[in-house]
Amino acid sequence: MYTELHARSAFSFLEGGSTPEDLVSVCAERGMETMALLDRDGVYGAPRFHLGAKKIRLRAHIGAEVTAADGWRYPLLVETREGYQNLCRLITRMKMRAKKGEGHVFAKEMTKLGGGLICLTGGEEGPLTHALLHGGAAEAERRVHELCETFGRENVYVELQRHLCRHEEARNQAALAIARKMKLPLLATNGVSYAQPPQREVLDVFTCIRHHRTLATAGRLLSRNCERHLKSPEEMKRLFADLPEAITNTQELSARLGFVLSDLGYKFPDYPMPDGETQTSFLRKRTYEGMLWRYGGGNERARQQLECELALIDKLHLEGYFLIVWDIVRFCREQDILVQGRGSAANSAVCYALGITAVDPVGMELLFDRFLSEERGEWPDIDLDLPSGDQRERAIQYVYERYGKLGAAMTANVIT
Amino acid sequence: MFAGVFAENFLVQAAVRGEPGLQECALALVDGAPPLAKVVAASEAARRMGVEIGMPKATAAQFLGVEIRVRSLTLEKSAHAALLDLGWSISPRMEDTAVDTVVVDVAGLGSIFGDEEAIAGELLKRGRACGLRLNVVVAANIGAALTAARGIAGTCVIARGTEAARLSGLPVSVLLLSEEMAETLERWGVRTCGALAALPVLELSERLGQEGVRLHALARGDGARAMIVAEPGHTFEEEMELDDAVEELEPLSFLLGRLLDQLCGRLAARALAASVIRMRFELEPAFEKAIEAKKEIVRAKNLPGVFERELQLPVAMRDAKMLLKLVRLRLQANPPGAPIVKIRLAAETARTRVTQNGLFLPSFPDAEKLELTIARIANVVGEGNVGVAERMDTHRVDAFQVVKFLAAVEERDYEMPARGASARIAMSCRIFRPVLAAKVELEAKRPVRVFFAGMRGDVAAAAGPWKTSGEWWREDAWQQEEWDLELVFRVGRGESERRLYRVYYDAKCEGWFVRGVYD
Repeated sequence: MYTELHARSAFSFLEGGSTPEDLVSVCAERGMETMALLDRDGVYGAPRFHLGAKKIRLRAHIGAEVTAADGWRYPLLVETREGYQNLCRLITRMKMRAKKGEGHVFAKEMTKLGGGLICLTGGEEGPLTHALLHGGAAEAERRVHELCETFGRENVYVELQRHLCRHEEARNQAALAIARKMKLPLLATNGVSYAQPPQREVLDVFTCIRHHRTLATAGRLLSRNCERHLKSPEEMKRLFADLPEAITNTQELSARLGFVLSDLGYKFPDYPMPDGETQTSFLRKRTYEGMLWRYGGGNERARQQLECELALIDKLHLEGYFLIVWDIVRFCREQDILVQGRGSAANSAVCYALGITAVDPVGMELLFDRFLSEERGEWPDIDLDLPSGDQRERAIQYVYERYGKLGAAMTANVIT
Repeated sequence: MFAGVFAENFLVQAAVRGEPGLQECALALVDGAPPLAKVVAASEAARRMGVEIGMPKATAAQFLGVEIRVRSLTLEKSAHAALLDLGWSISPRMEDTAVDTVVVDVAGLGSIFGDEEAIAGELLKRGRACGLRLNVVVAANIGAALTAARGIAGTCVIARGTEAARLSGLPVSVLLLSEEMAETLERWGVRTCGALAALPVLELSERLGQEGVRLHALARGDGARAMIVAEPGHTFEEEMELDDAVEELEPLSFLLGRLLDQLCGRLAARALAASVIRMRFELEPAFEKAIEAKKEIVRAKNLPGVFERELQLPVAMRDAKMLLKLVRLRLQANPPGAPIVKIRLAAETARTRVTQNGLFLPSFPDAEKLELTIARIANVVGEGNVGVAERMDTHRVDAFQVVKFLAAVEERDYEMPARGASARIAMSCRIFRPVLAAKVELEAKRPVRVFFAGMRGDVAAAAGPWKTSGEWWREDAWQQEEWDLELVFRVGRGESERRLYRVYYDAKCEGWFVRGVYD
């Protein structure tokens, strides 16, 4: 059985012609049970790839092609949760010191953060091809040695791709010789750039946009043929009939890749505590102070609701999250900045008591489960409305000052 | 020091420059809509015969031996451009004073041309080469130089301080008087600059105002003022409107030769050469075919058609004869197709070619001659069928285009092979042009037998397919699967021959072809 372990989606921005959902659905059609997505310098496509795969019960491996200083790219597959964290750290560091669309990682960073990652020798943009072109077989061998030192011998696979091009076969023969000499495993991939052959046209147009050319003037920048699509295991077996181990190794490697995106292990951040307090005790105190302010001392229904909500928050370890939102709201109140929580957070008595929302969910008999539910397995989100302009900027700056420039981020989304 | 350059009787000179045959004739230029056309300029010979400015055309036509031509603004524009180029050929500081007058700052040119006399002589000589007869006067101030140039024929140098004396004998008309002023001075009996200069300036100003004072200063040779420097132009154009349409190449060549002479003269004056010659011919409207057609079509037909051609030169040149040959060849290959009523030639300029080559470079044929030879070949085989084959930037196998042949030697940086790079052993493949049609038998999608050129080859080994496809947005998109096949041919009893072929299947025309054979 064959598993495609080197594919790009449209999230490689102008280097891939299909969406992650397209890729997983065609993967299922071709009878494959697993697949890996390696977008260029990012894991943007990973959530959609993961969710798409989950829907049709496919196993989705995550990875990325990470640009090195010389312009070539490390094709990296995530083996463990630590690997995913390292990959995200590498990409973040690279992006933070360069302009949009630029940047690269340094070899020493890769040595430090290479744990939990599997490195392939890559296709046209990979380290092996780059070394072959710029220094011949000896340089290629030296480069593979470096990869082995960085990631460990057991975590390096010599990748072979066959797109029915003459020049590619010469490269494959050189890669094969190195693999045999260094006793490294071979790995067949198709360096997928689109799901189906007709989508080559989309990729060609993307290539033109990337290079600021027209179709008529792009020349050899365009694809040579339509072979970079997702191929069935049978097709791949035929292509690599002379190297069956390159096919079987895809299965073995796939089995090694234990990480899936649902296994992120994400934990909400803690709120900085005064001495002698825990997150739970501090939240409980602030909530009961708020209860006295909102309901007075004798509202039993409110007390019961708060107890119920606090118990669930404690169980889900979300105290820090509520305290951080409370802290932002408190700052805004102190600074006379209008702030108002809205949406499903209005169903929470804790949010009401903490002053985040203004609607009494006990009096209005609102359903708390709409906001937070153990069964639903989703994370809560609290939307805060702030006035635009300087006042909002002050609130933003407060968050940055309190949690550090790497502890807070601004995001934008486009609702389509 | 300033040189005042004046082309006397400019309208006539412009007409003669466009039609040198009129040089010795008595010529009268007429302007205005018939029947009110009047004489606006006349040559000296025509004046002697009695032709006067303002005379009706019909009256002027009564004089036997007087050639009458319609005034041509095109020719005047061209003559003026030549006058400007003449000035710039001597000095970058030049004033475009009037259509027939320029002032050139000649200070500091002594080391190049010699003394003022020599500079004036050089201007006169260059003017003659451009087809203009000039008066050139060098003086210490612009006013004196201009005034004297209008009155002294040929060349003259006025030493500083002697301006009043040199101008004194000239008629007051050289001061460009208004009609009213000329009448007043005539009435006073003031006919020369000397007489005007002798008048007391205070009284003159009381009677003639500031204009009188200005004229008095000019007549004394005191015309110092700042120069308004003209910017050198970068367009070199020559135009000619034809009274009678020209259809044949021979008479057209004659006219083109004249225009090219003028164009090259101007280029030479500026030490430039032409890298591109643009030809624009206005064609005679075709009435006859539109007689039976609708009115709109008739109107459309009445519009002059335009025929344009561009002559790209591999090396910048300004040899009028060579250019004429090239233009002729181009027009022979692509004739305008209708009689021509107006010609315009424009040159795109470049610096003149440096002919000095390196001692150790191979000698090449002269670039101009080579270009002429290529143009002659193109005339026979067709444009686009002569040149150098250049590989196109495409994945399409064997795609090439024919580009212009250039003899220029380029110094190339030869790339040294990368250190440690293994030496590549490449097989050479002889390509069949055109490719050979073949019939191929397949088993499990792989070729097993190939029939072509009356031969049958059994496939002993096959590598491939190598797939290429592209230009999917065009009608002539291609899609090919290429194989390298080792074929075994039976050549005799028990004997066989093996050869390696490159064979491909063209999915667009659904056929097999043999592209080449490996050595």
